[in-house]
Amino acid sequence: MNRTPNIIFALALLLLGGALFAHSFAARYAAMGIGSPVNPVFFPRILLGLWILLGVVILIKAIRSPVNFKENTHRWQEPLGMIAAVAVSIWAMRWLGYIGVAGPLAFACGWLLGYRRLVILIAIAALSAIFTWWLFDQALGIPLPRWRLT
Amino acid sequence: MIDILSESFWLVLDPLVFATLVIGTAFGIVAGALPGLGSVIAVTICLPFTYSLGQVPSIALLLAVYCGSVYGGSISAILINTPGTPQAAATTLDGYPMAVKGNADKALGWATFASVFGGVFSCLVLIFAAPQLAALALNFGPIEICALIVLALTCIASVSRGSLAKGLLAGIIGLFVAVIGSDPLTGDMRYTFDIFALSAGFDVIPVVVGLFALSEVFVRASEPQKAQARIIRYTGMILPGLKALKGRWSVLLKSSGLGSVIGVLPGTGAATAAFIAYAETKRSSPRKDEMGNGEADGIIAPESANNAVTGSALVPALALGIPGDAVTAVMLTALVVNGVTPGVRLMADNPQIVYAAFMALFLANLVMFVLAFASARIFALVLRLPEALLMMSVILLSILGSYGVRGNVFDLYVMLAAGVLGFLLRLFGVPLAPVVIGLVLGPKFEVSLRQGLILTDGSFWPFLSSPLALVLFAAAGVAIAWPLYAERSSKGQAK
Amino acid sequence: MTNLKKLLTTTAAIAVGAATMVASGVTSAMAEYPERPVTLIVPFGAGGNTDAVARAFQADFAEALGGEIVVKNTAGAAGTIGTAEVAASEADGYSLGVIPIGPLTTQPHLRDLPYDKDSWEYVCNITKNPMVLLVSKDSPFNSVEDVKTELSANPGKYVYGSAGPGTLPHLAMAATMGALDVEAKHLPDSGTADGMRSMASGTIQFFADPPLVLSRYDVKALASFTDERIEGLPDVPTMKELGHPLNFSIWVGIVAPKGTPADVVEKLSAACGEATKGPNFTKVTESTSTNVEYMDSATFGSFVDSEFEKNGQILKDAGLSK
Repeated sequence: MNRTPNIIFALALLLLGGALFAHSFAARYAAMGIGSPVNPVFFPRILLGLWILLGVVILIKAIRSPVNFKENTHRWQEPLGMIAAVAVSIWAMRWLGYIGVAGPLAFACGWLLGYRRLVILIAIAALSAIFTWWLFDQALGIPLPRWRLT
Repeated sequence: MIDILSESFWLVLDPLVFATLVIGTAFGIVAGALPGLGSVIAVTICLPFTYSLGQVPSIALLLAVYCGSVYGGSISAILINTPGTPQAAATTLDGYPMAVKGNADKALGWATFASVFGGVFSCLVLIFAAPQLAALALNFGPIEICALIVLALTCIASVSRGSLAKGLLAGIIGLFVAVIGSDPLTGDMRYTFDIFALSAGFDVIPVVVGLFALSEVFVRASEPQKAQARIIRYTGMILPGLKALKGRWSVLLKSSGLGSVIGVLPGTGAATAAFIAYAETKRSSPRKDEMGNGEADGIIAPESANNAVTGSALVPALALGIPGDAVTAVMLTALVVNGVTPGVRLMADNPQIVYAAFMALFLANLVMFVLAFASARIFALVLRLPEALLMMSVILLSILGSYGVRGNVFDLYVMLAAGVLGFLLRLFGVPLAPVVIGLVLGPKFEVSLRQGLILTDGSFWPFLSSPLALVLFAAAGVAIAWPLYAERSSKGQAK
Repeated sequence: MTNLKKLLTTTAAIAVGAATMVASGVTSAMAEYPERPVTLIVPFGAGGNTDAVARAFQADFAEALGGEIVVKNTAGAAGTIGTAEVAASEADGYSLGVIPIGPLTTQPHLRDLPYDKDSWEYVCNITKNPMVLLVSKDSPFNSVEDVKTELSANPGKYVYGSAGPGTLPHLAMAATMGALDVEAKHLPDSGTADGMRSMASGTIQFFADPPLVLSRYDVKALASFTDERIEGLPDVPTMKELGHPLNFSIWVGIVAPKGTPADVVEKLSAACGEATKGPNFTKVTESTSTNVEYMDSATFGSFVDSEFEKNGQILKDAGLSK
């Protein structure tokens, strides 16, 4: 990884830790934990203090690391597409049920990973959706979300 | 004693017991290998069958499922870098690199051998020392547990490949994630930002599934098409020969011993045992410099330790009637339904049942050994699938496993968020294993620390007045100082 | 791109087809309830007490109802996550909750929840177990009077345990200490099993739970939180006899979301009554010495009302309510 993204990553972690630490001083926490020797944010504050400390160390290391120009070979559309597909599937599951989203999601996953034999892909996506549903909902008795659009 | 043992022996020598052992182990291995379907779900699914099976066969079934699932988790850890259960997270550290080098068959052989060794070892310990171990467990009050967890947390340093600071931060992130939700001691809501679903906190399974399984899919999607040829091919399983075992017995024995003791203690469990054994091996093994690059010691240590826990976790449950985790709680339920009252008098009133349970566990390990060959073949076939189709099933199973734990759609968003986090952490060279350590130990760490503070009226000094706690804290101090020293001196050499 | 489009439609068609097959029956009118599986939501994880009750009840309830029943565990946040899910479900009688006392009558006093006591149609109560005051078997305390004398002399020295903040053991112990007018520390654990461990290792001295624990652990009962002495424990005095009329029991009942049709609730309630006498359920409750106590819809409703008020007052007195 190059130097600049490393610095940005370290900064982002530091900011996140700082924001979470600041949140522990929110008014609501001050009134909590009456009667107990320590406040509920006592433990998270210790953790977040260490978080900030380590964030600073990582940031300094990233700044001091040599600039190292490596060609970036990572693709980004595919993982982003995959994340979006999973997100949409989870969101839509409440109406379409497990099978309704599992088939399309499986298809999207195979496609984004470069599988291009369409007929096989569709067949396998549909079959694996139905099979996994059967396995959990029927065979193992773990009820899955059902189709609600009627 | 001999009478009881022989009575137990006849109880176990029942064709029905044998059948439940085989079916249970096979189901356990598959459930463990599928990301998300952990030991707890696997055991719970079997609970209804125990209503009609009778005492010993139902114990045998549950133990076989438990044992198989702990082993099964290592298969996916080795083959697709995704621990099937949190207990197998430490196995990814060396198992997957070994598989990438083309030695998946050997890696599976090591994992199988070590698992069976650890399991059998803990059975023997149990048969001869269960009451003593149970008494030991009662010496651990909140302060001692707190000290033990501090010691366990230090193994984060050993599994932090690359950068120590990044590894420690990953551990902190894990600990912090475990804080979110309702405060276990006062019930107040922390870091929930008024989102109701967050008040339950995060379950370990969706987070681990997201961090490892889902992020693995994202990482593979981000790699250039050419690099994706990294498909693991193998045909079966190769057990280590006696020659290869030479010099590794101490690792096996030490890790199995660690697992047996840690399993008895409250608040820890198989995942912790695996990481501690890994850290200890990384400190003391003559091959420690190779660990992280596919060294067999890095597979032996966590696998023998986590399977040794399967036996010792039964000690508090059977000797004191106090279940140490959800799996043993389900087992006790099965006993009750079959007319056995668990509790302090179980050992005195029904010793033949207790020893039959130990023998069943012993046999489950042997059955597992045989079934491991078959399962290695089957998974070899599964891995022949094109990567895209393999990852497709990983995504579907991640969703099912994360949903199945608590039946909550919110957990699926948690899984996705953990997947994105895992993807980013991997991209920037932050090790994932410490996140799991923090996550697993976090809740008990905070509870024991604050319970201790309640008992001492808010003062830290009495924490050092318990001799047991003092020893554990001192060991933790050494464990923290050592890697810092090692890093500095190795840097000095490099320059 | 037409190929891809065609393909996507086919995939969708297959998925839709399969899903419709699964959900068939949803569309048709409600001729005779139940037409499809009824889901019992358990707000705690598998292996717990409530789960054990629900799973033992499942088969007999299904038979009495003449339909299929699935148990679903939605665990988290002291049972409030699963309970909220029941409240938010469609009020068609196909989503019911098997909910114990805590999420129904104590949690709503502790914090803001997406449900309250008016979110329900009460179906029936299934089990009800009185609680007893427990000390370790080798404890020097042999009566409630001993406890009062020793604790008055040493305020803040002794510790009582609980299954977590705001749980029934916590309430019962807080109320006891209040009634005896003594001071003790509270050390919350995360369940009865953990509490029993703390008692065995001497970390805590007092605990409250149903008598089931007496047969399992080295503990003895000093008093019962009931009006009459408990059958099977004739030597254990009631708190009422000792001049502290405290009454605590742990119960589990079935509720449906508000607005569930009255005839459906009626049918469920009747089936529930029949199922409490069923063979499976009886076998499990007998082996775990669980008290079966059926209450019909109306009785259960007014019972929950009174418990809600009572527990609210105790939490308020203990300084715990929101």
